[in-house]
Parts: sequence; structure tokens; C-alpha cells
Amino acid sequence: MILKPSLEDVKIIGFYLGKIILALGASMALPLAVSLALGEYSPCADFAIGIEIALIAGLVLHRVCRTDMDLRWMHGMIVVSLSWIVAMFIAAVPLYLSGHWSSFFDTCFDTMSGFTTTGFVLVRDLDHISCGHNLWRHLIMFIGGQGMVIVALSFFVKGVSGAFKMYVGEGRDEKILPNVIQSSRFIWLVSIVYLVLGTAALGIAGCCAGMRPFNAFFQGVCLFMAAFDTGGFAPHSQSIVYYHSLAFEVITMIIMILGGGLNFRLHYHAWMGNRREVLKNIETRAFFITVFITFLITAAGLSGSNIYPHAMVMFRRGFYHLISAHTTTGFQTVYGQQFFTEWGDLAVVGLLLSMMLGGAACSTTGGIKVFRIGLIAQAFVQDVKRILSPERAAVIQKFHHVREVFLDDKMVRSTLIITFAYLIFYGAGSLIGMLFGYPFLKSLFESTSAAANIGLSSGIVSPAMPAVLKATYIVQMWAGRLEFMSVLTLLGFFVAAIKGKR
Amino acid sequence: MKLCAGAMICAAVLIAGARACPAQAISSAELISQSRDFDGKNVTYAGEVIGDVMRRGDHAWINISDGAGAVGVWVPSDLAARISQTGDFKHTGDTVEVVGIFNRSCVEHGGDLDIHARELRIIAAGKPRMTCSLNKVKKDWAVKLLGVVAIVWILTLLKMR
Repeated sequence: MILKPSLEDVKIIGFYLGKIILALGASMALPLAVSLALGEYSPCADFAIGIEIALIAGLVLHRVCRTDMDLRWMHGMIVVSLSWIVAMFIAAVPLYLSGHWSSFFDTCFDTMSGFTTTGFVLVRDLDHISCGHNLWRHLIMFIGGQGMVIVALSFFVKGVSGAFKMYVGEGRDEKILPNVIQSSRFIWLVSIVYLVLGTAALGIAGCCAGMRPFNAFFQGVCLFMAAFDTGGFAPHSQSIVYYHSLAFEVITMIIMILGGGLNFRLHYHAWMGNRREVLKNIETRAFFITVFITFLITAAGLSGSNIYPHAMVMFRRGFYHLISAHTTTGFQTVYGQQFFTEWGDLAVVGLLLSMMLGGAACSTTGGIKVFRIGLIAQAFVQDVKRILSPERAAVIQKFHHVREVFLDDKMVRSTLIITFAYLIFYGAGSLIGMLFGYPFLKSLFESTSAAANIGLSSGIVSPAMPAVLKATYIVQMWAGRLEFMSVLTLLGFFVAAIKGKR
Repeated sequence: MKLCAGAMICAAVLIAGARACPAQAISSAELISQSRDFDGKNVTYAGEVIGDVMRRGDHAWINISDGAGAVGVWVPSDLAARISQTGDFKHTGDTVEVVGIFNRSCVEHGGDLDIHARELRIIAAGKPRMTCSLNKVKKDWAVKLLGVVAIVWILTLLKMR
């Protein structure tokens, strides 16, 4: 029997949702200050309106739903999934007011793309957007990559035992430190330290590349946020092509690997001096093996297509995109159309496979995650060993993830369920793309890019694409980022509200 | 003899005309989607200079947007010096026309899709954009919403008491 949610359930959800909206409104103060400092007065009004709407919604929810009750699993999951939807609308307000988007729906597409660190864009005339709006686009990505709820956990929630439920709801199931709020703060500490270092590196590279110092450092901050949170937005419409700089490619690639290729738990061990853990960990090994295999496929495709005259040039272009795809970032040093007009199908399939796999769990990436790929590979090895061993023999398979862990069937089952869900999700999105007349490979590429939060585009994503397809990709970005569970819980909550019994 | 002279005059007029009216500019969309066809060929491309003029030794990188997309152009420094305004939030950049060799994967620049320009002509000078000043409608809305925030805040405080 399904129980109808009580008024208290709704109040708990509303109360925490209010906190998250207030946090989001507070974060708009930064682009407002930047706009004010740079004399961009019209954008100042856009952000003022955005902050006011967030304050009104947040205060009303916070007061009306005030409660001292702690979250249960269901509440945590629903708060997370709802907060991403509400944040999409609120964060879109200042961007829409800039006049750079055709409709509010298109702006919501871009804000969901930002929060989920996907990187698809429908913005028009990006090269003339204000610094305040550009910073907000990238800040959205930073907030989403860190985990929107982590913002609230870190600064607005004190000693709530239910906080872990929201943390898990955002697709992170590993605590770095025993306390989840300490874990959130550690993630922030790591990110801020890398932010300073990454911005300095990109800013200096920009100055050396001939950019004006302000532009070099401002775009350095933006690019860092997009790279570390594996988002893929860029300050200019040409993505990384704009810079024509090897230094930019190398620095962004390192940041992408730090943000997307490494679990935050491994960052913690590396910071504590336990660097051997990084090398021994199943996740790191799986990441490098899958990078190697998918790069071989991509390189074979690029060699066949004969587009790049030298091996080094081919390596530079091919490997950059492979890392960009595998870490689910979506930065580009070639134009999106070139994948299909010049790279050839085999190279695109190599990229597609790396996109499907994604980066590390408990990082900022999307996709299936290499940890799950590592587990599935271990399960295969275990099954082969079972077949080869005497029937009475007990075959035990271990893997190293911070400590030695015994592989059990329950773990494999849950891993396979999530992996299968992602594969279905990739396929379903591509079917909808094909219904609108796009070819199979392009549709699958775009669908995978949306569901695994990558942002590399085959050219389908544009302001002119059908509204149904835009809505499909929004759902894919949202559910893919949250790894389904909190989204399914939200759907279950609505079903219970309609069909449930008291 | 008269026929020959007439033909020579016609040819001279045609050549002069061709120089005065440059070849029709190719769009960024054409360059990117048909890059194989244009590879290694002389092309004319026009648009607004956006972002920075990135000087690198005796050359500079500029990015030129034709509205639908932007392409990187590698220009000698003396030609780049003609650009006085680049496009950003506060300015529309100079509109330029470049003539040069198009490369779909430039060997010199690590596989970039670019144009190596040998001519650059300013078609229209850049100018300030009007988007910086405060929009009155937005200002009114900001003030009205501030009032609503104040009311909600006061009600919240009253409820707390």
C-alpha cells in the first residue's frame, strides 16, 4: 500500500528547499558585484531582480514550512531533485534578462546545462555578453559541479544528521571524512586551492598568449570553473579554439583530469601524503585503462580519415578531445561539425565510448563512472575464475578502493542496475532524436552527451531544435547528473500524493 | 589592330574592376562544413573582430565572427595594428575583411582550422554598444520587487515574534 505524503513531509521538503534557494540568491551577489565594479549597469539590474526573486521564494518557503524535524531518506532525495529544477528557473532569470537567449525556455536549458556541468549552450552572441553574466554562467557550473546541496550543507545546515541523505541524493555515495558536512567542506577546500592555482596558471598563460591581463585572468577563472567541474562552458563561442594556444590546452587538460578523473577521496589521500593510494586504486587504474583503449579507437579512426598530416598533431587534437569526453567536460579545440564531417565514424565511436563511461565517482563528472566499469570487470574475472575452479571452491575477488574490499553479488547487482539505466537512457534519448529526423550516430552522440553531462555536440543542439528535444535533453541532463534515484523518488512522491492512502 | 586594342582595354577594365570589388566573402559555416573543399585555397572572409588581438611575435591571432560563427585568423603584426576596436560587451569590434590561405588543419598551428591572412581591410570601424546603460523597465521592476522583499521580510519577523 502506498501512503499519501503528510503535510509535515511537504513542510520538511519546502523548508530545506527554501534554504537552498536563499543560498542560490546569495551566490548571485558575486556577479552583481563584478558587474557593478565594471560599470555594467544593465546587468546589475538583472542580478538585482534575480536576487530579489530568490529572496522572496526562499523566505516564503523557509517561513511557511518552518520545522524542526530532521530529513528522512525520501525527503533528502526529493529536496535534491526539486532543488535542481527550482534552481534552473531562478538562475535563468538574470541570464534571460540579458537578452542573449531567444526564450526563457532556452535560458532554462542553458542553466540546467550549467548546473549539471553538461556544457550545451543555446546562448546567442556569446562574444558580446557582459562579464557579470559570463561569470554567472560559469559560477552556475561551479555550484552544480560541487553539488548544489553541498553549498547549503557547507554554509547553511548545522549538525543535521539527515544531511547525508541530501549528499547521496546528488549522486555522491562516498563520505571522504566521517562527517558529511566535513566532507563537503573538504571538497570546497580542495576546489578553492585548485581555483587559485588554476586561475593563476591560466591567467599567466593568457598574458603570454597576448591577451589583455584583465581578460586573461577573468577568463582564467571562468575556464577553471568549467574545467575543474567538468562543465565545458567557455567565455567565447569558439570554446578553447579561441585561444590558439598549446599552453591553454595542457593546463585545461590537467584541470579536467584533477576534477573529473580523480575521486575527491583520492584527493584527500594525496593531500595527506598517501600518494600510493592514487596509483593502487581501482578507479584510477580503470580510468587510465579506459582512456588508453578509447584513445586507440579514436586514433585509429583519425589515422583512417587522414585529416591530420602529422602524428603529433593528431595526438594533440585526438587526445585532448578524448580527455574532454572521458572526464565529461566538453571543451573543444575543433568545431563540433568537424567530428562528423572530418573525423569519421570510428573516431566518433571512440569518443562516444569514452563519453558513456565518464570519470570518477565522487568527482564532478557524469556518465556511468569508471569505478563501476572497474567493478564490472572484476565481476567478470570472478565469474571466469569460478568456471575454471572446482565446484566446491569458494572464489573470492578483492579490489582496492582506499582499503581492500571483497566483491559481493549485491555490489555487482547495484552497479549493473545503474549501468543498465544509463545505457537505456542514452538509447531512449537517441530514439527521440531519430524521431525528429536526425541520423542514428548523431542522435546517440547528442543523447549520450546530455545524459552523461558532457556537452560535446554533433550540431543538433541549437536554438532552432524542436522544443520536445530541448525538454528531452533537460530531463536527461537532470536525471543523469543525479544518477536517477532522487528523480525516481520524486516521481514516486507525486504518484503517492495522487494515489496514496492516508 | 582596333579589335586588339579594344580587347586590351576590356581586359584592363575587368582586372581593375576585379581588384576594386574583392571576391565574395565565404561564411564561417561554409568554411567549417566544407573545410576539405577550401583547404589550402585563397579565401576572403569578413566579420567582426571579437575578444583580444593576441600578439605572438611578428604575427597576431584574431578571431573574426560573421554572426553565425567565428574563425581564427593569423595575421602579420602590421596588419593587426590597423584594428583599433575589438568586440566585447561594451563595444562592437571593427568589421574587417581578410584575404588569405585557409587551412582545415594547419601544420604550423597544431591542427587549427585557420586562415593565414595576407591582406586585411577595415570595412567598418567599431563603436560603443548601447547595452551598458540602465534599462528603465528593469530598474522599475527591481524597485518593485525590493518592496515585496521588504514586506515578506517584515512579515517573517512578525511571525517569529
